Amino acid sequence: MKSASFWSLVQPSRFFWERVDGEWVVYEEASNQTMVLDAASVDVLLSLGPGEMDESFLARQLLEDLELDKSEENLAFIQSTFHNLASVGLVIHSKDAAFPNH
Amino acid sequence: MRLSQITDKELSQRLGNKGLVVGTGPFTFRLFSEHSHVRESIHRLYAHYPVYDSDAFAQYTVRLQHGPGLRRWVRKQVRFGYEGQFPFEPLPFTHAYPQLEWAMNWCISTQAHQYLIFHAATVERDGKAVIMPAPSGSGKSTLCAALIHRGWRLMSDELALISMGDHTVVPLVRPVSLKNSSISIIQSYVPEAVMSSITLDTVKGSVAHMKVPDAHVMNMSTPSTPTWIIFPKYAAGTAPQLERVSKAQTLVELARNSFNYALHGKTGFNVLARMLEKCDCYSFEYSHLDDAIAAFDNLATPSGMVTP
Repeated sequence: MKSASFWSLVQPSRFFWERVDGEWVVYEEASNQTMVLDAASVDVLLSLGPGEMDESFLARQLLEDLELDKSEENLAFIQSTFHNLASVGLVIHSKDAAFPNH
Repeated sequence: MRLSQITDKELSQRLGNKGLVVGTGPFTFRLFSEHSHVRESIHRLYAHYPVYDSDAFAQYTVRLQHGPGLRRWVRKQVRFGYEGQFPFEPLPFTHAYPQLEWAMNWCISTQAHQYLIFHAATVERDGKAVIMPAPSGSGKSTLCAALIHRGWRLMSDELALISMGDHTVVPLVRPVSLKNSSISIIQSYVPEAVMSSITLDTVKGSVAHMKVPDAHVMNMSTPSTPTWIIFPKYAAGTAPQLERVSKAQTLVELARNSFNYALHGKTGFNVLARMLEKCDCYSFEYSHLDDAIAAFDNLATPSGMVTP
């Protein structure tokens, strides 16, 4: 049986945003990180609430927001966005979440 | 009263007794040292700085003390004392003057949190400031030393102070720290430059401090508007290359180069973002100081064309 995947914001986290010359810069207060993010990453962070969110639901929503079709290439891009955010410690991945939001 | 107006004997008495109170930009230091070469360097490099009565208020007190125990006499050492603490390891006695300058920087970077502080050199012309954040070895201080003898005013060499209120650059006019080959480069490029003696074998290599032109010291209360952020890099044999850098990436780099951004948190983030709204940002590679100065002059000329 394939297990479900979920994503959530690292807690505690509090984001501040600046749009600088067409690019997004985010400051995360708890980790004190400042970074430049692309639109997809910003969309992920804005979509995630305090709880966990189902990966497939989140991916569908992102494709819609970014006006992308469901091609393998686009799905891989969305996946890499999740993992990039996880690698800088802003989101965490879990499987078979006990209390998913969706 | 300016430091040049007090006698060498009086300077010695102040440094050894109640402290020499000297103003540098927005800060006043009370300095203590019994080392003759510290006294000589202060006399040479701080001649035009304001000095105050020894009882006057000073934000920071810096004591250069003898090394502990036998190190007072055998293979003599110097150590920086601050309010009963010793923030640095003792250094060889001959490193006393660089130790003093580093100690003064330490006081500001660890405590002057009314400013957002970057590790950056800053120069100004016509009220417009260039902030040059860069790691050690990038040629930042060499470029700064050359620029301030070719029509640019020194705002700071090591620590750029940004006002949290109006985001202006606040001058911190202190001797320019030169290291290793940059010492002889500046001695050749600016033969009239007044330098401290060279201290060998410090943790940063050979170090000398260059006196700031007197007019810059006299003008060290005048802030300027951040207008350009330039990341300089000396690269032997390259033609001068000024390339635009995104403001977003510049914000991240400035945050990395700050001593107290983490402490200011979202306020620091907002200050940086507001400051960058009015700045153009570049990376700059150079190998010859004349080329570098021409590029900076071109930026500051109203009709100057800068190719993105």
